[in-house]
Amino acid sequence: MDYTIATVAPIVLVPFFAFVINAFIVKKFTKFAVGLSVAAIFTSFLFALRIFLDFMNVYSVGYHIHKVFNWFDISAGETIFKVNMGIYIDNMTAIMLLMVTGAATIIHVFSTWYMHDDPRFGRFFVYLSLFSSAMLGLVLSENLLSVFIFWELMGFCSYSLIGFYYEKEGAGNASMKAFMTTRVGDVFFLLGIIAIWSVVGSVSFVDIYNAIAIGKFTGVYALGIPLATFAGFAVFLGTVGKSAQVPLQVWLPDAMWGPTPCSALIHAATMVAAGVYLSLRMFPLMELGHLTPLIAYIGAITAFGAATVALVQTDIKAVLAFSTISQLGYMVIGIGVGSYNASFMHLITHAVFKACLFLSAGSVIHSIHTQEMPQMGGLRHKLPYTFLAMLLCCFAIAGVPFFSGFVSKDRILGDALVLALSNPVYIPVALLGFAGALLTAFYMFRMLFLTFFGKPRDHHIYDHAHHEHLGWNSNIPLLILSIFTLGLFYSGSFTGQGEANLFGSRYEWFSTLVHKPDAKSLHHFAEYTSEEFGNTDTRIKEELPKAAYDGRHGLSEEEAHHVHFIHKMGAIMSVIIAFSGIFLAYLMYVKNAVNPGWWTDTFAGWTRALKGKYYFDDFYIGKLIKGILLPFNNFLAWFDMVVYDKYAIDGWEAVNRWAFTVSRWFDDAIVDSGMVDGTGASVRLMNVVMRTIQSGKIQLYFVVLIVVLASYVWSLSF
Amino acid sequence: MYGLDLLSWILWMPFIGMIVVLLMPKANERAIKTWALVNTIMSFLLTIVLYMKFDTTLSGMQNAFNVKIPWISQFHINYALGVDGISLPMILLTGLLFMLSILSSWTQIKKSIKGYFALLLLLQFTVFGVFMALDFFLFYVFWEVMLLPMFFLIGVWGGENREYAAVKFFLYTFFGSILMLVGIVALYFATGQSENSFSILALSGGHFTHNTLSLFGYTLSFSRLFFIFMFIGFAIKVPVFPFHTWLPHAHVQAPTAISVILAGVLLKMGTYGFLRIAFPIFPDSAKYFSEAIAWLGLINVVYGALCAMAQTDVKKLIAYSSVSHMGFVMLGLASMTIQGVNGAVLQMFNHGTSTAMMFFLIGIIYERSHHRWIVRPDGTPGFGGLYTKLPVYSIIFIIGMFASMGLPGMSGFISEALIFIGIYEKFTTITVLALFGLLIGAAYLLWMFKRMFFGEVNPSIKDYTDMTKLEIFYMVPLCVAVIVFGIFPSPILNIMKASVGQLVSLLATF
Amino acid sequence: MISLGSYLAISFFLFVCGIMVMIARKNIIAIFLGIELVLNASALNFAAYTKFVNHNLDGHIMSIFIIVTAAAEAAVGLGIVIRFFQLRESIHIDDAATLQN
Repeated sequence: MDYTIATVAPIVLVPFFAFVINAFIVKKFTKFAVGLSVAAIFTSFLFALRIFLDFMNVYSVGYHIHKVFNWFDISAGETIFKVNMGIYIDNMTAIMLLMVTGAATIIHVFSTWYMHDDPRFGRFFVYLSLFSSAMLGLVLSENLLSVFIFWELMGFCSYSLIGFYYEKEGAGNASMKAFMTTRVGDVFFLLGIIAIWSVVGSVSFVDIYNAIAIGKFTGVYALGIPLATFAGFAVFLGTVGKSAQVPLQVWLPDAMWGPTPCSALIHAATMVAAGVYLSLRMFPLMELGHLTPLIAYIGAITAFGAATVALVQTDIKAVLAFSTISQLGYMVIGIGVGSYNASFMHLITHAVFKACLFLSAGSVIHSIHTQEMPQMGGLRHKLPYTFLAMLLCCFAIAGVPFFSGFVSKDRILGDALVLALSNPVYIPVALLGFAGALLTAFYMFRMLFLTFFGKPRDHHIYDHAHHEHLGWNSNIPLLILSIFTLGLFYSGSFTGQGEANLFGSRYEWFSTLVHKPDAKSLHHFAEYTSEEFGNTDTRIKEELPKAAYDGRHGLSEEEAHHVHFIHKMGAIMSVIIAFSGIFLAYLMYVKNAVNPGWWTDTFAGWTRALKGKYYFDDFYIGKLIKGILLPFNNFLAWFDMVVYDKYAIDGWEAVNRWAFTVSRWFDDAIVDSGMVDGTGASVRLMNVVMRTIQSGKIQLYFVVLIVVLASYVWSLSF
Repeated sequence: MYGLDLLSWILWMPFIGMIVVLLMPKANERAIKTWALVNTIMSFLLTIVLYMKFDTTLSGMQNAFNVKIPWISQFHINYALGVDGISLPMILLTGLLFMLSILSSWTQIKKSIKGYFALLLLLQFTVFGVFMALDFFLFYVFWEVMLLPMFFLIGVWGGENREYAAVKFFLYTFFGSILMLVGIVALYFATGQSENSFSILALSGGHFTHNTLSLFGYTLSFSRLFFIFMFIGFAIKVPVFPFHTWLPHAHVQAPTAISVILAGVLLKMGTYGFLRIAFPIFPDSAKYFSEAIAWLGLINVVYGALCAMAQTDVKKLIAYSSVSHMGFVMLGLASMTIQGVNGAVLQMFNHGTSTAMMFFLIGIIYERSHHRWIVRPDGTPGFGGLYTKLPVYSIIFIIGMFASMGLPGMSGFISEALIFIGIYEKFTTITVLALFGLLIGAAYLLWMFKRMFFGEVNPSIKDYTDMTKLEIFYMVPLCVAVIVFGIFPSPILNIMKASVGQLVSLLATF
Repeated sequence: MISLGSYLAISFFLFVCGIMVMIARKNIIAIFLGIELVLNASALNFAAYTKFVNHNLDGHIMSIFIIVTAAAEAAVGLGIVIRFFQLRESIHIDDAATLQN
């Protein structure tokens, strides 16, 4: 397990080369290109699996691999400016790699079925390959700049895939909206990177941790704000954009214009989670900048708000989109309340069950060619495997015990509860979190019941749907994914907290291996320097202690007991909430005992607001863009050409005209008439005088001569 | 040996080409085109040879290439050429873009072929001259002579309103050059009319920090006053904010190849002037005015982007985007840090390739549609559904567009990121505001793309054919350039870093 | 003994007569006569002064010189007058005032 860049890079480069090759051959050799893409991502999966197993074998918290090479270097004289690229793999990366490659492989396989009758079958895989390579590159990145590069590349893929059906006007709008909204966050992210660079002199994670540990951020300000806060907030805004948090959540529902597998991969499992992944990586900085309450609030508002909007959606993909926003909100709450491990775990579990949900929805859409739930119903008879997969996933997301969602989400809520009891600032966070959980259970099962239960509401559609047969690329991928919604893959216990342990502490691997980077672990980076390409990391050869699960999380016995008690209460509350949500949905949509129409009528104003997604779109597009930005642009363009150019620049022509009129007048009247002609006139005047004197009469001259001479002589005599 | 050095060959090659074109019979259009192409290919190959022989470890002018022959020895004016890390990227870009421009003019130019290609080659000659000249007088001569072919190329082969645009371009630039000429003369007397009066290298280094001059009874700083003069002279060419309005007119009226050269090369002459002349000769004033320059750059970035967003003519939109992108170059220059100036020079190169792509692409669609409206004046869409109808064109357009907006992995990103890193430490507020320009920069391009390429096929574009082999052929080098230099910026950065480092350390001493 | 005063008185009388003739007469020949009188007056002055003041031959020489010059001048002048008469059929002085336009 001697990892160098050369042995790790294939994870990124194999899909990338598949992309490059496919981009040229996809038109003629579509089948081959598709096969190449699938093979490429599977190769990456095998690499990732190998890395994962190696890390499980070491089973240590501090173990990481860090290798860099110089990308470019513009140092001159004493100023050193090098930009490095490289890999940074720790436990978190290894888990993330496995999740991304696994989900991507399954989605690739599913796409070969879902997209095969699409005229742009091959091109879809070109984008998928590029996307996969970008996402894997992001996960492996050792510095923020390379994170940003891959982050934007994913944005580009997302743009292309949302606009995949480019004949449709809506797809064009949605893709532009997605790119621009995330770009708002990205621009701030870039600002954050630059701000960090100005302090640390590099944006390598290792160097940033090092800088935090040795206190380089203290006393540094940007625009009057402590730099840690400034940069941390800017980076977090990147997360807000990419992970669709309030107020930049508007793009994700529209992103559903893309083909369903791309929604599963990009807008559920990986890209949107990359935002959270970034915030987890930069958690020490955000903690240093005292941003955690803000983050928790944004997460809580998103989690609850998106869940409420999901209640009234009739489009199956829209429900899933809002549920994705909501679940991402839970991850962000996790960051905000310092529930680092659980937040990351939720990222992984969510990726699995949400990818599965999207693929199931895709399977449904592919069979009946509609996304509207009011036209579905009773489909469990026609699509039994899809139903099974979706049921498991709904259990997981609703937080039913023994499923992955329970393990991760309830730990986040438990931590929020612990914090809320000690610090009243967090009480709304916890309340919104629990309320969101109730709504989540309700709307997910509403979706499930509306789709699969009851009587077919549109018989025409129902009759045209084919009976599902087990196919290696249609529903087997769903079933594989749905297996991983079971909680035991992530935790050996009910709660992920090591209590009621079924398989012993070693099975609490997730909680053991991923640790919040606290002061102690940051100290680990204090004397660490990155090494150039080709050198083996000295740190690897050290004997690292095997990690052991610490049930007390470094707390004292008493505190730990208290925390565990609250967690237990929280878990019980969650279970009650989950089941009551499911039960309510059951009453409404299966038993028809409660009429949903009554609710929509009674709270008509609320329903309208929910259907209008709280009017964010109206505000952004209607007010900000169409109301302010575009008129302002038009004004500026008008000003530039019609006012500035016409008067301030072409106006010089008028000034010139005036100037040459004046100068012509001056030339004619003064110079020519007055001065030039005046010279002639004066000569003529002299002429008259001289002509009179110059009579030609010699005797007159003589008289004058005599007179002058005589007067001269006479004057001498005095 | 006199006349056998590489730089002179590169410089005079297009001139020889022009003479040959003039001697050719007018009717033989194919021969004229072929010769022009061969000539520019030879120029380009010579620039590649220059690149191969260039020693990236050296800063400043490289002795291996320097030429110095007395020209007007009474006034110590020399025919002096040289190349360093700042001019070499520009020379490479010139060689590349002129070659591609000839290809793009192949079918697009239909009247008086002979005159067109002769003027194009003359233009190349003068542009090479500007980027190589080491004698201030020689520089000025090339700078002025450049106006002549440009004036006729826009004024004869342009669009409907071409005379207006050509005259505007001419007068605007001429105004700037006059100020520069005053500066040249002032420097000539300030140095005591000595051996060094016109040598750019000898003038550099801030010898005029303490000179003063009296004007209308006031004692002014020599350096401040003439820095402003030269700044305006070069700023008009860039163009920097209050002097930018010639650009949309010139671009809209100019034929495709001329727009490409105008945006790709000629705008860089302005920023090159800052780097080669204004900053090194008056480093103290450059430093003194750096914040003002940064604010102007910021206005360029944001104002250009906002104006671009409102345009309904694609070419005008891209013209304003050039204003915006050159604003980034100004920001990088104003930062006067290693990162910022390297980023600025890199941005000069990258903007040359990416914006050339955009103008070529607009020319290609114009050849089919004979209009460039995104939205016609009567409110109906001019295009729509191009993606469906012209897939190859669309993909190349996407590459150009994302390169232009600075998508990571494309060339524009590295230069913009370096500029931001450079300027952050000096002017944090400006950085934050300039990022807003980055945002708008993506918005107008994507919005344009959406309106032209997405949606159902507009009936008016039904008969359009996809790109011809020739068109693809001349777009490929640019596509490769924007992608390869996005992933491996080192080849360009390595050329420039030593020279930029020298300039920055000079500025740092003031 | 005839004193210097007497010589000078005659000389002055001749001079004034000459001047008056030159101014008053319109006949060119008469003006010539006037000029001769003035010249003779000056010649007489030279002769008188050299006899009473200098006692050498300078004045005499000068007198003879004046007489010779006057003769030459008269020859040239009369030539001019003849040409003038051939041109204008007149020897009236005012007919020579062609300088005025």
